[in-house]
Amino acid sequence: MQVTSTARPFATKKEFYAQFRKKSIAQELWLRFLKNKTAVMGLVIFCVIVAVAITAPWIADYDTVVIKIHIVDRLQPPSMKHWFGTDELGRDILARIVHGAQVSLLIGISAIFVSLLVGLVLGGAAGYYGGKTDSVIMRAMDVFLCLPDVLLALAIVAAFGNTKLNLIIAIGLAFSPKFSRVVRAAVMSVRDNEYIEAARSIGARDNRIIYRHVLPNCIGPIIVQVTLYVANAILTIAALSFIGLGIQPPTPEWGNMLASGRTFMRDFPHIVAAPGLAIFFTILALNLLGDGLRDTLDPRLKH
Amino acid sequence: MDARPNTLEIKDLTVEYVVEDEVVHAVTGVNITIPAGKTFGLVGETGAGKTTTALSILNLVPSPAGRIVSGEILVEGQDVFRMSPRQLRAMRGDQVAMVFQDPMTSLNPVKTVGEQIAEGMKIHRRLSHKEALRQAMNMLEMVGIPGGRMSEYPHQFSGGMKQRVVIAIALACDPDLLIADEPTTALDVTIQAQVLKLIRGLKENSRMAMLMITHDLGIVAEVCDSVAIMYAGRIVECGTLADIFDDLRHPYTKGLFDSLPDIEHRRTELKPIPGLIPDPVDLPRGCAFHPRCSYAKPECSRDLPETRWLSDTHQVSCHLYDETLENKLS
Repeated sequence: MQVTSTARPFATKKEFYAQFRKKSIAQELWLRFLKNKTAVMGLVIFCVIVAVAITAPWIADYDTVVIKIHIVDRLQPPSMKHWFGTDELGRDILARIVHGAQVSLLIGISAIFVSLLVGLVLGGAAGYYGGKTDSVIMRAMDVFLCLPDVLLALAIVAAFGNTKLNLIIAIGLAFSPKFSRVVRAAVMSVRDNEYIEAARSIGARDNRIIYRHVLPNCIGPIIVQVTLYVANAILTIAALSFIGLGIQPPTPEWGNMLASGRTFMRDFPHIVAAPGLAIFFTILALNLLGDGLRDTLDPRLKH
Repeated sequence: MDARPNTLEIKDLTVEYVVEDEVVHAVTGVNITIPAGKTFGLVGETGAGKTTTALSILNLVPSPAGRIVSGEILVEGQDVFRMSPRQLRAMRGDQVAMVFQDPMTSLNPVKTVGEQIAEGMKIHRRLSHKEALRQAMNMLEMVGIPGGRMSEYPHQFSGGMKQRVVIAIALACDPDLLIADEPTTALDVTIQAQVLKLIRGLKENSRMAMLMITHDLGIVAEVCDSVAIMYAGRIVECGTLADIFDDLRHPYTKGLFDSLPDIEHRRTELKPIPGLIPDPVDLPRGCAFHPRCSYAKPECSRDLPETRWLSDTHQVSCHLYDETLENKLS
């Protein structure tokens, strides 16, 4: 048996036992994730996009390159100077794509964060309490679920104006019913476990049980949905911007770049190809990542 | 010695479950008294109502299906069915703690064992996170697990160690009453012995009362002071360890003992009780045990037997003792 003495300082004790420790859950999952090649590819692409978005100000200056009009350089095909060519106002498309990534990712991720918060509170309560609470919350969510999310977001933006914050809230609210459903289902699968009853038997209050015991056990399906819906949200922003209700020019955003470029599409296809490909790769990366996470976190695959 | 009320008094408890218009009579007219520091064994087959009785003490019978029909449960003189939600939360874990049957499922897989032991102390003792974790480490060492393992997760522990952790969680707030719901059923025999040794040690070193739920008479013999035998939701016989083990009176109790292997006469055949426990939706009239009872008389299928006191401690519910208190089984 191992020797124990309470006099020993905690840190060294921890080191002492570290040698007996098996792999943590996170390590195990990470190793399983790495075996999934397509998911790793998704993660790599997504990380590159995020890195590019973060370093955008160093890649191209916003005021002098991204939004400044150089009418002499307009509609140039891709070259060494302008890798993706220039648009109808002579702005470097690569610079605009890079800055557009910042906008898309920021709004996409923040919007999903909003809907996640709403979903955790409403879905958590509905799933945990069940009965009447569940019926009232979920029927209300069903009403919102009937509307296509672009339409719902559109209505909110049209009513309150299209600032970035409003866009985040609009898209966030539009996606909340879906999250509520996901969270509710996950909570319902966890709440009848014996350890939840055990938590109740030591006198924990409902809030504590929901947020400390139930939800941490639901993290798997929720993470998967988050990655998949971030992709959806980015698509929704692009769609809103395309029809002119999202991000307004001259601020670069993939959707409004597509919209302004579509007049020149026949003669200068590179103008729309670049933002189209940017959207395509972001969505692809997030979907691959989401599917990979789903496979990794699927409890049926656990040994 | 002291005028403290009994740690636990269950008076005439009746609990039903209503499932799709059918009424399941889980517990009927159960009386149990546990004085401070004593261990009480509740023995019965699966479905006899043992766990429902235990959950009633914490007022955790799953509702809306479960319904407390009548009775009261006094914990340190206070009726748990009259407590406000706040009082209930204050009672659970602090005065009464429960050890669940299956340690594999009663620990939260995503929290470290240290956090889980500390949680009760944070709720009831209002300790800081750090202080609670320090005490959790002491608890862990008390149940024989190196304190350094408190930052590990349940899946890194073996079954017996998990049950020790569950016991440590239950003991963290130094409860007056510990309910152990078949604490060794899910464990293999050698681990059972370790856990029993731990429980016996606890019993000797504290004034804690214990309700030990089990279907294993061997465990009862090892740790309990008194025993109640439960059948189909009712207590059929109740007494001290000596009453039941040396002078059992109820045919069902006899059946339980006869179905145990005898280590000295290994060649003798076991005598199982014929038949199965009745469907609790549709209990037989009269004594619920009469269809399986080899002593059954005509009145057994007609009237419910009265509970008779054979001595100050020993009571039995059986028509065999309607006229005489003499032992009719030997």
